[in-house]
Parts: sequence; C-alpha cells; structure tokens
Amino acid sequence: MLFNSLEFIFVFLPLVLGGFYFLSHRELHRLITPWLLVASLFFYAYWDLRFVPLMIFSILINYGFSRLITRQTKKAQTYFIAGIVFNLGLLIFYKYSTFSSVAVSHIVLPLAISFYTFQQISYLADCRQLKQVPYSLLNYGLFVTFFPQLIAGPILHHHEFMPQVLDEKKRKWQSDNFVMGLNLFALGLFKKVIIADQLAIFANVGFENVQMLGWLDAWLASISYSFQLYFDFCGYSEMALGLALFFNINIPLNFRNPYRARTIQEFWAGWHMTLTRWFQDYLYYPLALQFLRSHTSRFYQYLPHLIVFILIGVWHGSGWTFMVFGALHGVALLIHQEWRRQKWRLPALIAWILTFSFVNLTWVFFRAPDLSTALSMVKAMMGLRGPSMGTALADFMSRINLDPLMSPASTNSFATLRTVVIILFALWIALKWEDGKSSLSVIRGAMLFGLSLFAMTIMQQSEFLYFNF
Amino acid sequence: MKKILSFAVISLLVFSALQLGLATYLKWRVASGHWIESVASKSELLKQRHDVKFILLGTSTTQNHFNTLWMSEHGLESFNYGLPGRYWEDFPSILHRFESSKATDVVLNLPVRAFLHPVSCPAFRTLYDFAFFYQLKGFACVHKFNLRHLFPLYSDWPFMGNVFKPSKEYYESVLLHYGTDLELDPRQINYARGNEKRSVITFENGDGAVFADSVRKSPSSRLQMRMVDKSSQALHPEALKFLSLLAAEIQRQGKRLTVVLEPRMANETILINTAQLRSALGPQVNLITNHAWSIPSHHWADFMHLKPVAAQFYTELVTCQLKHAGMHPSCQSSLEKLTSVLP
Repeated sequence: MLFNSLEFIFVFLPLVLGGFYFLSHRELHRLITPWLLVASLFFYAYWDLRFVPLMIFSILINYGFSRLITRQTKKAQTYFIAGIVFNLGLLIFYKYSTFSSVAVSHIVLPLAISFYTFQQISYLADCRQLKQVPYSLLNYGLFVTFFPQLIAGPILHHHEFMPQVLDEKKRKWQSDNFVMGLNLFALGLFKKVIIADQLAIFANVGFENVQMLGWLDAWLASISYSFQLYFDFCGYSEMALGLALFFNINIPLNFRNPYRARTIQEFWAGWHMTLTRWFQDYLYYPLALQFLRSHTSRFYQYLPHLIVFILIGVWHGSGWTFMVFGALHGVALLIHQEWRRQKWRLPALIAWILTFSFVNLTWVFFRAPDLSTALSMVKAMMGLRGPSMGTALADFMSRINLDPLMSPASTNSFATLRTVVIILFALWIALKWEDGKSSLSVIRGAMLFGLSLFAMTIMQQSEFLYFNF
Repeated sequence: MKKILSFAVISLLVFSALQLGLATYLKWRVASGHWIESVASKSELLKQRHDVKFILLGTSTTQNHFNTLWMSEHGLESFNYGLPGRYWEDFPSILHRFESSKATDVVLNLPVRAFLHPVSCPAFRTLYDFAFFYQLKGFACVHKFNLRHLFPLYSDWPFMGNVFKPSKEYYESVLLHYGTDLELDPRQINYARGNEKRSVITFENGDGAVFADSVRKSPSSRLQMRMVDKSSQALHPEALKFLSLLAAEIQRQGKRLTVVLEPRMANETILINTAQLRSALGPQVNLITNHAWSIPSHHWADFMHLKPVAAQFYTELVTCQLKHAGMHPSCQSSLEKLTSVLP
C-alpha cells in the first residue's frame, strides 16, 4: 500500500488509528502491540503476499539469535557471527545475486529487505554488547515491521523505538502530536505528489534518451532527477514521521536540507541520516578504531571513509554504477578533509555551487542503468557532444502530457520553460523550507494536503524511488 | 481538536475548489470543441447535443468506424460514444449517464469474442459500477475497488499523451497514402495523437479515424485468415446475463436497444451461435450481425481498425441496417463496397 494512495489515507489509516485509540481507551493495552503488528503485516502483504513469509522467517531467526546472544554464554560470539552471516547472506542472495556472472534471473527483490535487514543487524550487535534487554517476540516483531518506517526507513534503532512502544502514557490521545503529524504528512505528500512526480517526467525522458541530449537537456534532466530523488525520499520520510506521530511515536529525522550544503560533509550530515548513522556506528567506528590501532599513516586514516562510502553505494543496489557513486563520494570526502586540513576557504556561494554540482553529477551514476549510459550523460553535460544546446528532449516533451488545448500552441521553448520553472520552484523549496519538524501552520499544512489530494485524484499513482533499494 | 477540525475543513475547501475549477475548465473546453477521449469528456459532449436520437456505444472500433455527421445528414441523428480502451465491462456507468439524454436508441457495438468468455471485472469508476457488478459476480470484483475512481474527474484524465498538431506535411501524407483529405473534412479536427507509423485523428463531433499501414506491411503468413467456428457451442452464460442486465438498464430508460456484432479482425473470423443470442435478447432488441463479412486486407489500417475510407462504407451499411432494423436488399450496395476485393 502506498502512503500516497487514497485507500491508505482514507481506509487503512483511520481503521488502524481507530483500533489503536479504541484499545487504549478501553485499557486493553496488551492488545495494542498485536494490533499494530497485524496492521503492519497487512500493510506489507498488500504489496505482495509472497514476501511476507520471508520477512517473518527473518524476524523469527533474528529473534532466536538475539535470545541466544543475550544469554552471554561462551558461544555468544559464534551466535552473533552466525546471525550476521544469516542476514548478510539473505541480503546478498536476494539483492546481489544478479551482480555476479551467474545471474539468477527469477529472483525478485523482496520489498524493504535492505531496511529491515540493517535494522536487525544493529539489534544483534547491541545484544552482543549488552546494550539492551531482550524484548518479547511481539514487541520485536513490531520494531521491525512498524508500517510507517517498514518499506523505506528511517532505519530505526531499537532504543529510540521500543521505550516509546512500551510506555503506556504514549498510548493516550495527544492532539499536539496529531496536529504535527498531520502537518508533516501533508508536507511529505506535497513533496512527493506535486514536486517529485512532476520532475520525474523530465528526468525519465532524459535518462531514457541519453543519446539525443544536448548539454542543456542533459543538465535539465540530471537536475530534475536530483530534485526528484530528494523530494521523493524526503517526502516519504516526512510522511513516515507524521504517521508515527499519530501513534505518539517519535522516529528520527532522515533529511535536514542536504541541498543547502556547502561541503560534501555537510551534504551527508543531512542526507539519509539514519543510513549514514548506521554505517557510522556499526562499520566506520569499528574499522577506524582497528586501523588507528595498527597503522599511523594518513592513508589508513582515510581508508575507512572510502570503504564505508563504497558500501553505502553498494547498499543501494547491485551494479557498478552504485559502486562508482559511492567511490566518488568517498574520494570527495577525502579531498574535503585535506582541504580543511590546509584551512583553505571558498566564498559561500561558490562552495554551494561546487557541492551541488558534484552531488548532481554523482546522481547521474546513481540513476543511470549502466556505466556507459552514465558516462554518455556526463559527456553531454560537459558539452563534449558539441556546442548544441539540444532541442530533441524539449521537442519530445512538447508532445507529451500536455493539454490538447495547449498543444497547438506549444513549442519546444514552452516545454523547456515549464521544466525550468518547476526546477526553480523545487530549488526554492529545497533551500527555504525546513525539512522535518517544520513550523508549518495548520492553514499551510491543510492547503498543501488539499492540493496534494486533488493531484492524487487526477493523476497516475507512482511508487517511491527508494522502494527499489 | 479545533486545529484538527480546521485542518479538515481547509483541506476539504481547497480540494473542492480545485475539483470544481478543473471541472469548469473541462466543461468550457468541451464547449469549445476540444474534448478528449474520456468518459466525462464524451458525456459532456453528448450533453451539449440536444438533437441526438442514436447513441453508438463501444470501444475504439466504434469511435473510428463511424462518421456520425454523415449518419445525421442521412436521417439518423447520432452521437459517437466509442472510447478507446473501454470495453463492455465499463459500459454500466456509461449507460447510466445516458439517462438524461433524449436519445431514443442505444446501439451497442460488440465484438463476438465477448460472448465466449466470462465478463472481466471493471476498473470500478463509480459506486454504480460497484452495485451493478454485485448483481453479476457478487463480491468477486471487490479487489478492483479503488477510491480514486469515485472521483468523477479521475475518469477524465485531463492531459493526453502523444498529442501533436497536424502539419501541412501530415495532411499531404494522409491524402497521398490513404486518400483522405482531412483539411476538407467538415467534422473539423479536434486533435491528433500517435506517431509516424500509427496516428489517430479525433474530430470535434466525437468521431475518430485511424491511419496505419501495419496490415499492409505484415507478412502474408500473419494475414492468413483464421476461421474459428464456435456456432455449435453455447455462449457463455455470464456474458449473456451481463448483456441482459445492460439491456434492462437501457429499457428502463425507455430507450430501444440494438446490438451490432462488429466486423471481424483483419485475420480472424469467429462464428458464434447467433440464434442463441437472438433468443436471449428477446424480440424487443434488434440484433445486427456484421461479424462474418469478408472485408479484404486493403481496407484495414491495423488488425482491429478499418481505414477511414472503409469506415465510411461501414457507416453507410450500418445506417441502412439501422433504418431497416437489419440487413435489407437496399443495403447491398454498401456491403459490396465494403467487401470488394478491388482496392
């Protein structure tokens, strides 16, 4: 079920919320967790029933390992390693089997597997380090499947979720949370339906016709995708935040205005924050510590960065493009650190332009189906295909998705102008509006919600981009 | 609580204002002759025609096989309610919209294949569809229910894909390859869509025309006529029941029903048990069987649609059949033009 579907907003959500507050009102607290768990499983099964057994299997195995690990017997480390191998094995089998030369074509990537696997690995790691007491199977199941964050994050840490679930005070109606939840949901829906889905038209046409693009087309297509990705994923995350608040649960922010960044470090401090936090806690720190103990050269100081960023790239998918994306960011971060060490400074505007242009360029590798397409796009952006500004894409755009009444008057420049206007609007919002728990007024939130609902009733529904990862 | 209520009221107001705005815009657009191929748009076009006596209901073959201006000039004031991509399971709510029309006759154009299979579930458009299909299939179609379809404008997708403005070269090419002078067509072009290989023209009165040469370019093996004789086989009971429910709705509105079995495809002829169909429909319904005529390949644009010249012959044939409530000796000349093997 999609957050941006009418069934979700007007049927599923009211039913689940109604049940939640009914049980809470009747003091039937023991039934609340099972209720949310069943609702979350239904939410997941609505996509594809086939994926449910795999997720339940993964939850049961991980829960079993967590119980064995927390006994702290001599075999705890073995159980921990076995648990990690199990999780990574599952992920590699489903997600990366197509990366090898022996591609297993019939395997379908189960929805959300990257997210729920990472969440469970962190749980096992914390069990190993005795950072938590074991929860009941039902509570653990809800931690993994809680529907607002199940499909595409934010990647939760159990200590920021479970205490809230177990707190009976959190089960009472709190209208402030509900209002903030509504505003956040409306903001996220607006970003997805009104901005991301509009930009998707130009981005998709551009990336499907890379060979036709002149430099202007290529820049418009790549910037469209950069903003589409941001508004799509940030919109999803804000909807998740809002939904969780309906149940009085605070889940962490996933974006903090990444496109305002003036350095690559600032960018990653605001982009998919829960994923970078996961890599930082469970991979970067252990690796960095290990290298620090055994080596003193600067190379070994930088190596963990590079490894982590390559793995962040690979986490998104099985392809060389993702690896190149991660490596480029890793190298950029190293350059940034050297730059900072030299105490060099750039004017703020130039620093912003450089950072955004670099990020925009790397999204080309992230979006392109293969390396040759990505390189072709980069060539077009650099003007290496000749001085042509390119009208092929605009010509194509002028033919699609336009009101027939407008069509006779529409021209190439009209299509280009339309895209430029949407991009400028997106840029303005990315720079001026605060992500996450913003100070949206009820009036503004309600207007965004009304506008988004209207768009949902007349336009085709589209999935969120991060569902593919 | 006050804030939550304000949120609900304001969002509802914004939503309603936008829906109303778009509905008004679409209405104005249809009034200016710019309809699009959707239920709401064609219904609005029908509403603006007060003289219509015959409504031709069907899918893309209906839209592209009839010249309703010619029919009107020859005594049958008709309206073309053919819609591409809408099959007979989508007809209940469309028929429901005919209630306010003063038309006396509904002409259902159906392919014979429809009677050999169970009826599919519709992509529910309205609550009316939901109730209608409950009579036929109980809850078997409930999974198709989608809240989006309850909004009337959903069915009126306001933006069309692949629309283009016909150029001088396009008109010349159509005249050269298909013998159709679109510039002189009194129906006036609404818009064109498609590409060089296959384009569709829609006219301001609701008609359409297909320009394609996929049949001409097909290998002869693909054009080999396939005869499927199902005339000894019973028609599917669900299809018959569905047709009788559609007929009951039309008769409830006080309109006469004519069922036309559409011309076969370019490479396939299916014979069905028309006697059973006739008896299921009863004496009040007129049945016209055009499904077995041998229409030569040069008349086909693609495997489903006739070229505009052949569509004109077909229009003349059906006009004659409607006037005489079936095949009549005076319709023979139109039939001969349609089935003539000479290009």
